[in-house]
Amino acid sequence: MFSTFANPHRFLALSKWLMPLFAVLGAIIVATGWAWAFFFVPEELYQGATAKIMYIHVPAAMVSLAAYASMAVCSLLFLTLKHSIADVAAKSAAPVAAALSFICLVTGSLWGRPTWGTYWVWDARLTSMLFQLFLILGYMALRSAFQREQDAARAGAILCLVGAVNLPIIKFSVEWWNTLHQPAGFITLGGSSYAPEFYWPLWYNLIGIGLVFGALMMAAMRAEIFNRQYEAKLARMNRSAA
Amino acid sequence: MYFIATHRELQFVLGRGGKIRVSENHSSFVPILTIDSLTAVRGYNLLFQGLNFKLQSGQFAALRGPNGTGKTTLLRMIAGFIEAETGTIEKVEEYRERGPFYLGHDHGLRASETPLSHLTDWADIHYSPRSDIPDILERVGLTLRQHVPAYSLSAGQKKRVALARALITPRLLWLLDEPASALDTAGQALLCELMKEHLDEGGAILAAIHDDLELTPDLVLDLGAFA
Amino acid sequence: MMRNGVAAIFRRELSLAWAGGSGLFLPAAFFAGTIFLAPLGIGPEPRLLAASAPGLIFVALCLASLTTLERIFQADLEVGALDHHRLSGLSMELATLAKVAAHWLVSGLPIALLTPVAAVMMRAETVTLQSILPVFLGSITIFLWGGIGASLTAGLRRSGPLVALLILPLFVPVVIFGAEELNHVLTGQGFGAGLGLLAANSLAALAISPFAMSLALKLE
Repeated sequence: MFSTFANPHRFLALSKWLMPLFAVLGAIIVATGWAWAFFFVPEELYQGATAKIMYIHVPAAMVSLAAYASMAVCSLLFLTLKHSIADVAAKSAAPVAAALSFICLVTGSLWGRPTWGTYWVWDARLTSMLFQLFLILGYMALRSAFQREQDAARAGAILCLVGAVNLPIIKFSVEWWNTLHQPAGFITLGGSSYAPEFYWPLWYNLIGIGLVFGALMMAAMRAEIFNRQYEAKLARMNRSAA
Repeated sequence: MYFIATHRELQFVLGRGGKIRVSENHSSFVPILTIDSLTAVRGYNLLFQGLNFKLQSGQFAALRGPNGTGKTTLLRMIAGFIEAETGTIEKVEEYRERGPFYLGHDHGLRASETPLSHLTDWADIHYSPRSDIPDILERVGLTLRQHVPAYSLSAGQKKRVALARALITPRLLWLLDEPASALDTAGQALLCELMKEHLDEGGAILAAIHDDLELTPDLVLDLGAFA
Repeated sequence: MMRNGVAAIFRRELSLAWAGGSGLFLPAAFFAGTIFLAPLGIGPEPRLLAASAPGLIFVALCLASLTTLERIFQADLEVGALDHHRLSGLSMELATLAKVAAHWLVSGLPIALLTPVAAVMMRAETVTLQSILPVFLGSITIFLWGGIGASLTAGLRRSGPLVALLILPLFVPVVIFGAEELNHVLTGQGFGAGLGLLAANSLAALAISPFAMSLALKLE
């Protein structure tokens, strides 16, 4: 009857053990990964110990980008196949993606203070991340403006897809702008010229943060599904009482 | 006259489905609307389920049911504005891939539109001749008010403009949501007259009505029974 | 006589905007007001004003367009006219595009035409009619992206601030390419690489926006 809410059962059954697994594994990897990075990785030649914020900053940036991409894929699936579980996934990924973008921006700015001598530089990557955060906040604000979940789902999916199409354009334009206005004495963050001793802990931390993201997203999805089931049940009870 | 346009367009649609016999008898069996095990959900509330219904050419069905049983939702579903939860709605193919004629609670006039400008735009949007407009305005009794902007028109007058739209762009299926509301006695008589003409020409009407009209419905669809 | 349904929707929208009266030049007035206020904050120093002119003109363009965007579809939705357009058998993609085009013509185009005046007020080095083109292209893009925001929020009350939050990130490329290009023109270097990118962005908006708008208006 309520085909919109159909088949979340398999997801609930799967996530019941997958979610704690991700959470525990993620916590262990992040804890050991940071310990590895902070205590065992040699200090970077020019930046010293401050470069170690990279092990939070870079994974947060990459996972938040991946999270936005997954929101876009889920939105597309929802619009084409009308699977409500895809909408639940997109909705649940949004706050986690926003939090990761925010962490990325804050750590980037803290890293910028000793490196650039200021908390904020209009660096191309930071600027793109800032606008990605705005896109996600807009998505969340739009969804919350609708009363009915179905309206919110459709509007959110359209906005998310439009944003996903635009994100590469935004990134390109910001990079183009950045090369035109390159400030003096600028040090590029990241890049692929890492020595292996910096490279492996970064990958390790990336996996850890990815697992934590997965656990948080699954927890949010479970809560959302339970909430929808509760609302549906409440409506049914009101109906039979009337 | 608009009857010519009506007739031509009706023939366009019905020519393939079978010969339509205009007026005289109501025995033309052209299915206009077929609803099969339809279920409607608004938010988390189930409005109706398992609705089956058939409407044929020349038939007028009254849609009844207490408030909140989904009369407006059903009409908007048939119009295609709301997707059905389950079930199917089959409609006769209208001229130029149009939807049915829909008369909702809202009159469809922006504050600065006049009856004449509204109907002119309406005719252009639907590729209908503008030359019918003076006759139609006369018919709905708005000739003297044709240049008055909508913010100065009464609710009943706006409803008459809405009715006039049905005459400019003929459609086989009329979906009317409380068509008599805001209309005075003369307006209600006009409404029944237009509905009767539409049925005689081979159209079909599904109307949500609270109080009985002069026109007796051929069928009554009570949504309360499908709750 | 206009015998095309989409053209009829365009003309109806245009005449309603005219009949709307005061709302017509509101964005242009907003734009002019922003530009005239800026020197009071920045100071009358010509070099400083000229340097900030392109960026300021584009930011003012974005903000000015936001003042009317939310009404593009809301006015029709409120009175039920949108229902009738959906039943008219016309393509909703083209119908929404026609509405956006009409709104751009009365709200966006005047801003583009005001650019030379704004540039003079901002003490730009060389003011030519060429300076209209970047703002012209930028305003088209802004209205197309803005139309998506308007269509998504058409059914919501007091949606203005929400529309702003939704579509401001989409304005980033317009501001970057447009201001760079305007800077080129205002410093007497003629057109540069930004113009092509600005036009490309307009085309991207033109390709995406109608589909997103018509999909969004089917919300119910």
